[in-house]
Amino acid sequence: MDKNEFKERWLPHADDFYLAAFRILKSVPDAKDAVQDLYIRLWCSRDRLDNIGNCTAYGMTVLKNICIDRLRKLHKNRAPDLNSDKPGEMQTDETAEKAIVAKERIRELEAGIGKLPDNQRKVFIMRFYRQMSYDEIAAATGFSGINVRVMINRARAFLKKSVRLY
Amino acid sequence: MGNNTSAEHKTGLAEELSGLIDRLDATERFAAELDRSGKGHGNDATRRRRIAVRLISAAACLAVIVGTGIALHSSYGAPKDTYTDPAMAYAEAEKALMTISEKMSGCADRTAEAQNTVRRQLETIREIF
Amino acid sequence: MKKLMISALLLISAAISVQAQDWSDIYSRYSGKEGVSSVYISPAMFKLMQKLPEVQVEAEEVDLTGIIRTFNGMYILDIEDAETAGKLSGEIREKFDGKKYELLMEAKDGPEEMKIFIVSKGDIVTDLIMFTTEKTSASLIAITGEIPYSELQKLIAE
Repeated sequence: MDKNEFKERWLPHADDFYLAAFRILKSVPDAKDAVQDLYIRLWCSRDRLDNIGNCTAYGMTVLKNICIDRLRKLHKNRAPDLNSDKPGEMQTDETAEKAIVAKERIRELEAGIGKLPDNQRKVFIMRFYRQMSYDEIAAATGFSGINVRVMINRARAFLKKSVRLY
Repeated sequence: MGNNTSAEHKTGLAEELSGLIDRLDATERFAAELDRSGKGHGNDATRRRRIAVRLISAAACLAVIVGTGIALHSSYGAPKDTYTDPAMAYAEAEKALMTISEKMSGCADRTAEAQNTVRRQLETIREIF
Repeated sequence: MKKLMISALLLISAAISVQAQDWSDIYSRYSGKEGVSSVYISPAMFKLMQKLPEVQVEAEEVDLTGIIRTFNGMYILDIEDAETAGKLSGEIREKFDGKKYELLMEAKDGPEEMKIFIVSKGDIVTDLIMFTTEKTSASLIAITGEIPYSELQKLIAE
């Protein structure tokens, strides 16, 4: 599933997920965090989700687990959760791991991008975040085609050296 | 728990999430590229060209056997340029050099480190005696 | 008679372009294979590069345009197939056994082994080769040209 397909399928439910999270967590920032977490997990496992019939139902299940985890941590409540023996739980832990890694990667990469020289950063963002072609970037920035390519090379080389993307 | 509070945050949420997804996607693609470029320089164009190269080599062989002699001198055995655009070829050449430079510097760094370690050890020994 | 002529011509042109042919030969033999991605840049292409507009260099970076100007040919082979990688490794090892190739540096980084060789005539490097191998993959970058040793040192400075 590519980025746009993913967005089309899952973004429409964002508000529903938010409300559900808010009802459990009773806090705006926590609910937002939980929903963000949900979407990161959905993204990390998007290949497996192609055949999900009911997106809302699936999302709510994952979201509930996320909220329960948050509550547990907040209240340090060690009481056994009757729901935690469900088979879905294992998968959630794996996905939780992936989500944490994904968040870390974004942070690392963007910290590195912040250190790039202005021109390289501009061009790099156009290439990787806005997925523009070399020609489009050349037209938008006024740099020659070769300079665009060279700048992306160098940005890539710098980031490779300074960013740890497990 | 007023409905107003939650409504304010509704509107921006989908946009924020959309931005987050963009960043997830970009980071993933960059990480994949790093993986690939760490191992290789080829790209899809190269893979497609492989078939063309095979056909051309076969044709070239034939030409040599039938033989005009003139064709032999400088272009005998020369493969076909991977890029037709000199800007792309330049970028590829730079990329290759950067790889070599990275490794060479890595070596130099490690040698310097090793030398430092040895020096420190020698100094320690000297102090003891 | 014609056959003899052709063979003679083959031998002569082989003798004339031995160096470029060394790499051309290896490159052509491997670049068609499964699991191999390859890049070749010809002398003609390097000449075309000279006509390109100036490349911008940021302050802290090394300017590679000078050294690239001294290149004649570039051959890159990246092999992901274990068997083919093994074959290339064997060929390279044989080839570099003689005195012509000087080992400039080598490094072992976990499973990855890397060697850099050069062929030089006095102060000028005519071949610069980096050969990297891992358990099931191999990567070769071979550059031919007339590269002053001083330009090579710039690469280490980075």
